[in-house]
Amino acid sequence: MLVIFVRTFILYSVVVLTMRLMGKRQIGQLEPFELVIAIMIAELATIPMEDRGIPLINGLVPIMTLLFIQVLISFLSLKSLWFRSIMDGSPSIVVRNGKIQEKELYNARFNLNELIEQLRTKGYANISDVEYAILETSGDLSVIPKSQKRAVTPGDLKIDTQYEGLPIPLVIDGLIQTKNLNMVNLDESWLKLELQKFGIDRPDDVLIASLDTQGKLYFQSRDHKK
Amino acid sequence: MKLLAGLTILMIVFVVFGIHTQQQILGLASDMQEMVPNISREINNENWDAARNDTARLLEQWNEIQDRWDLFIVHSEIEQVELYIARILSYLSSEDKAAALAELAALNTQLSHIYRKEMFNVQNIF
Repeated sequence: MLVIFVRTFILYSVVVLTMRLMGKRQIGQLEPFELVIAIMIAELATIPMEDRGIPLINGLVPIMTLLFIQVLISFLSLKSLWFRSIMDGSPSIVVRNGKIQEKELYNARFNLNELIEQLRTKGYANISDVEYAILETSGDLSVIPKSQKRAVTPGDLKIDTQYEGLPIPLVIDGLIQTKNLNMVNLDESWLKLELQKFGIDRPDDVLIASLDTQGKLYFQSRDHKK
Repeated sequence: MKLLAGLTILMIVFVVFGIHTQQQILGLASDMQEMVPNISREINNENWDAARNDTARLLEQWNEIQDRWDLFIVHSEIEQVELYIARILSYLSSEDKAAALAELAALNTQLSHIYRKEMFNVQNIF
């Protein structure tokens, strides 16, 4: 039992490390070759995990080899457009200038019902509202509506807007984020002083505190103080 | 790029290490196989003491390499070799000629099987 416990621990760590090294794209959107590798890795890890008769290295070597293949394919895809089109395919424009491209739909083996369903989920019930619909290599459908049908932006209405940056977290779960404080040229004493103004003596009592680009401090104290 | 370079080095290590262990396994398997005809002759001549000594030497050699082989070869195949040697020793003690020769032949086949399975060739790839 102990052996299986340790083997599981090792293989899990290796698979997590492998998926991390494969890059962030793995988690959200898988290209065909990435999907194949992800499935194979999961399968390869489970066999030596449960079968003590199989040497651990028989699971680790193929996992590392698949990681190498994946990184190599990603690298070559980055360098060569031709290679990328071979490995990932190319996007198909299924609706062009508001007109459904039958041939493209047929080539992608994407039927009309699927197209209409996907358009509905994207918020376009009427196909005549769509200027372009592109079937991406990951299988996602990107929809570009006709200019009269898209949401109005402040730019359309010629309304000036203020800069909206990213609020910077200064305290997370009671821990002061010194790096973030330094980034906005502030220090802990400033933070403590600001919190004291709201009756909070210790940053430990803060669940989250962030500073927006207007210099406004947002915070929420813990329900149960430490 | 660093990751790719690191992984390329790792792949080269795998290949070099793979060739090295394959050569080692093949060498040790054939060393052990070379002892089999000698033991077989001694059993046929009913030279039980010499056969027992040689089989004990075979077991000793096996015990030395077993730990290393455990890392690369499916464990059941290794256990099988151990089982054959134990049976041979037992049959030699009871001076059962036919059974001892049968187990020795089985051991020889098992070693050949490991040897053939570890060889890098087209048959093993497909």
